[in-house]
Amino acid sequence: MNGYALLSLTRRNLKIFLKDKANVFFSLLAPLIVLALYVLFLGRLQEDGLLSALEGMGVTGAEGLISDFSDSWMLAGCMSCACITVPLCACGIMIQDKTRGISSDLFISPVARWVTPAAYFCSVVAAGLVIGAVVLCVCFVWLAAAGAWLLSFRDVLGCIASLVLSVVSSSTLLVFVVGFFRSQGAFTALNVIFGTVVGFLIGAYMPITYFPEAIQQFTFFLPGSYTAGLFRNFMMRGPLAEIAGLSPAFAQGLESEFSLTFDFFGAEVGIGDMFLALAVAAVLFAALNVLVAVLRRRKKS
Amino acid sequence: MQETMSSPICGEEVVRAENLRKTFTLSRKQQRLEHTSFTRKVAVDGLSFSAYRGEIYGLLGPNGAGKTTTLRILSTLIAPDSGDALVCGHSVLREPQKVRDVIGFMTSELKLEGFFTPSYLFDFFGAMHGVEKSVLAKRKGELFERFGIDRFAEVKVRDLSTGMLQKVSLVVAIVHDPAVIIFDEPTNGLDVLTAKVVIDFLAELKSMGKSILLSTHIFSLVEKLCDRVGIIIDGKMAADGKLADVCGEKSLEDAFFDLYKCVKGETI
Repeated sequence: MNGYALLSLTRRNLKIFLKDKANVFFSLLAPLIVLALYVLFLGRLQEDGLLSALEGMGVTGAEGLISDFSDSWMLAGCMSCACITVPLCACGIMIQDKTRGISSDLFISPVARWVTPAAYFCSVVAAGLVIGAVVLCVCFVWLAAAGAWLLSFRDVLGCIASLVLSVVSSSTLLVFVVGFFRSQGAFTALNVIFGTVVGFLIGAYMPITYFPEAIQQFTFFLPGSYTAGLFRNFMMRGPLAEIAGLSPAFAQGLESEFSLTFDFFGAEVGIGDMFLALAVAAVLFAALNVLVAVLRRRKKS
Repeated sequence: MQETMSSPICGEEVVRAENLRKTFTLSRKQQRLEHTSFTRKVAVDGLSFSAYRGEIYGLLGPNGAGKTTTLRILSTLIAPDSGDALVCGHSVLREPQKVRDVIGFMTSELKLEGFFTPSYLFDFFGAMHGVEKSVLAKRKGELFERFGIDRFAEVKVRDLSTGMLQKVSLVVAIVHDPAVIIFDEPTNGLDVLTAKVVIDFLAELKSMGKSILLSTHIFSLVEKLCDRVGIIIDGKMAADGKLADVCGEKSLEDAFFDLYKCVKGETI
């Protein structure tokens, strides 16, 4: 019975999220801002900067490669933002049910107490995966249409794996945080602040290396930074390898400047470490969610 | 579980509250609103009463008397600090899941998402209560026909009239055929037409042999619907019994204010 109820409740939550077109749109606002900024001026600014740096090194005729590199960087930023903002917006159903008293209706049904919170989590993950998959497909189509498709089969699989792990990780964190909210107003405020700041903190609007050292070190403790790192690795390695053919030193500089690898207080963080960091964050916040649920139940009884 | 839900194995007494006590911590804001410096408030203070099968029992009292807290304890949404309550013989403390099997909890608030249909909502809450699909389909047919929802089964909730919306909300709450229906402030904030829908619905449920517990501060609702009444003042049961016994020769309103004066030592 609990399994059937879990499935029904998850489907109901997901339907509510997907039927609210405005909510889906706002969940993609941060990725859309990244895209808009890039199309309007950031893309050209970045390409011009990279080209003049290359020219300074005596390399010319790399416009196409630099454009592919910039496109990949922007799309990696869009994907990273989507993996965080979509689950955040999907958490809105938790607040909606609380404020409308629907939680009480759910809690007095004879299903086990873990079913309702578990269904919220599952629906947040499902929403993140569904919308994230659509955004990922759009990214692939963009790359193909722009003639910038330099992804290997392994890169595609890596993107899918990054999407799944990132969504699960950010969902555990966000369900934990949103669980403390009681009003729609507070949640909306969180949504606005988070949606605005997240693009900067994970280096979607501009490389994180442009920020002061202290901010850079702070971002090492955000799971979203590892999401961005993974997408950059899988989406930008192709163009970067091509650039390395022209100038290995320049490519190496780009790798570090665009945070394809991090220097975590002296230790280099590679792809495996990024996956591990996201997995650890997922387990940590899942454990915290369970702990809070147990403490709340004890307090209640 | 189906057997428990559709034909509860219980005696005449379906609800027994025994010396229920519940206190809440007041926030600073609540302290200001209540003009008190105390950090704790006793919401329910040693409340005991019984409700019997097939009757409508009304908990009557002013706002803040402890009616909703009592109903929330009975529906296992909150646990009492002390005391216990039995619903169809199951303790709200020791067997909350069994209690949830046999109760339906309703409020006058509408909590339906606009883009779902009555049919979807009925199926969804049926799944939440573990009702088998074949039983659910049969029950949906019966209840929808009985309350005139059948023609609107596939119409989106947002396109329904307020009265029909209220009916859907009520029918969805009894999807699992509960033996005991708990209704918090059934007509609170409703216009007269929708309130009539709710009152007729409750009368219909009673005719179906259901036991109903409702809370209200509306005298006419108690006089019209309830077989027995419990008057709560400041979390304590001030009077409990058949309407005629509680009122005597007076109207319920006069009896209530006399009782209020007697308990509080002040008139309103």
